[in-house]
Amino acid sequence: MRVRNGSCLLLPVFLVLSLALLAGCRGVASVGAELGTRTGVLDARQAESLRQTGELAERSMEDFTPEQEYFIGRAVAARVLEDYAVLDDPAAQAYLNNLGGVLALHSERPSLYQGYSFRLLDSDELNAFATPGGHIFITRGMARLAQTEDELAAILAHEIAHVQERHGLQAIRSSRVTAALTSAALTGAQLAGDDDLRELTDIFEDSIDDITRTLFVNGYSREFEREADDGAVAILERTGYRPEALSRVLERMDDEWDPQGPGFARTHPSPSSRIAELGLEPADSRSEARAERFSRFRAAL
Amino acid sequence: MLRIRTLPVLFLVLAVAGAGSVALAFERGDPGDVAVRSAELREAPGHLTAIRGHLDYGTRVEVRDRREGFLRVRSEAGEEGWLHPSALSRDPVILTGDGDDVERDADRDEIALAGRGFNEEVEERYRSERGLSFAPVDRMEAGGADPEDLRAFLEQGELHLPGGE
Repeated sequence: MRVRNGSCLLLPVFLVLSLALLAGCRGVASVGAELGTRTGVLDARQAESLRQTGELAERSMEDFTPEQEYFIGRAVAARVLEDYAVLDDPAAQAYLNNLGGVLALHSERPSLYQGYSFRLLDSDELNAFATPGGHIFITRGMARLAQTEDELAAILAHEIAHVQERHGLQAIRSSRVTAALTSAALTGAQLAGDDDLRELTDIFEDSIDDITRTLFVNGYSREFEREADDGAVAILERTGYRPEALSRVLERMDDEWDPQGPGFARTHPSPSSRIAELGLEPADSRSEARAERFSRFRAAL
Repeated sequence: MLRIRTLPVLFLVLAVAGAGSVALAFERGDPGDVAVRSAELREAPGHLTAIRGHLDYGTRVEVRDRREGFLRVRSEAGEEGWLHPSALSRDPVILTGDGDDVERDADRDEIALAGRGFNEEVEERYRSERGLSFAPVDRMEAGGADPEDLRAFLEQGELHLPGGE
């Protein structure tokens, strides 16, 4: 990505803003500018620079529209599907879409720009992903860990909670403060020509890389994983599944836990620590109504 | 390097940053913009109730009523029905495609800022530069569950119907 703004005047401002933006509070730069002027720390020009820079940067951080979120999500989904094949079993895919669909209806964010969609990936790896656009993936290996529909629901509900909490976009936010402050948007460039489209595409690519790196390599923070587990419990309860199924399936993940191997172990806290934080004793589903259709699904794995 | 006299600002800014922001629920009379590609306007509160129409992304509506976690809204063109609050944005939705509707809502800088202008044009360039296929994503999105299938799945599994039903 090209950097157009080279003003050294903004160095202290940049540091202030970086910290303020990491704190995630809109309007902080304006308040900082006003306070800086009043206390004589900043002159009028510096204060205005802080205010303008802050407004631009804060908006770029906070104001991804649902449509932008969707296009970012689509590109992340394309990257996932570049690396993984989809399991060729329409009945299993339909079951997964129905299960994920009813869980999403009970989430705090049932309406997305393009809605939720779910795919079973033909891989023995233990993994599951969600994009900011509501594309949710689970590998055959991870799905096979679940012994009941409630346990499979718990895995999907965790991914839906990541979407609900907009964790994917925050992977961009936390790692791209510098880019946000030096982007085409900051310089107020007219986005009319090929150069501008190229610059936007570069920013887009960097954003997708941030998210895929988080999904595949670094993982979300422990706090985000805890939020996703808490969100999953709420979704399971509202839908009518046993929330203890999350602890049960985490227990099964713990048996397969290999931090050196591929998949979720590289990107998630240990299942045992997540069970401890959940505080829910693992328990099995007793539903016969769901047992038959789940066994049909499981036979396809 | 950061000069000593800038530190008070740093301190003050961080102190203010701790305040955070709180999202407020929609109230009767509030305006909102449709935040999904095609919002389903329903006859009654609920995700699985009958659909009476659709509103496009960015359509401005007014909230007329609230019940059972849903909002009754009316568009400027007079279309009325129930939708879930997550289909509505309190912030004005700035469109990023081509055409007059974009100019209606924002100048070009605002469009860039709203979301860096990520749209189909950017996706197309990204796709061609990377040699990446979006066809599997299109198929994935097209394969979503039918509302009647969801209702049957819930009932057969002795699960709860979503709010309002």
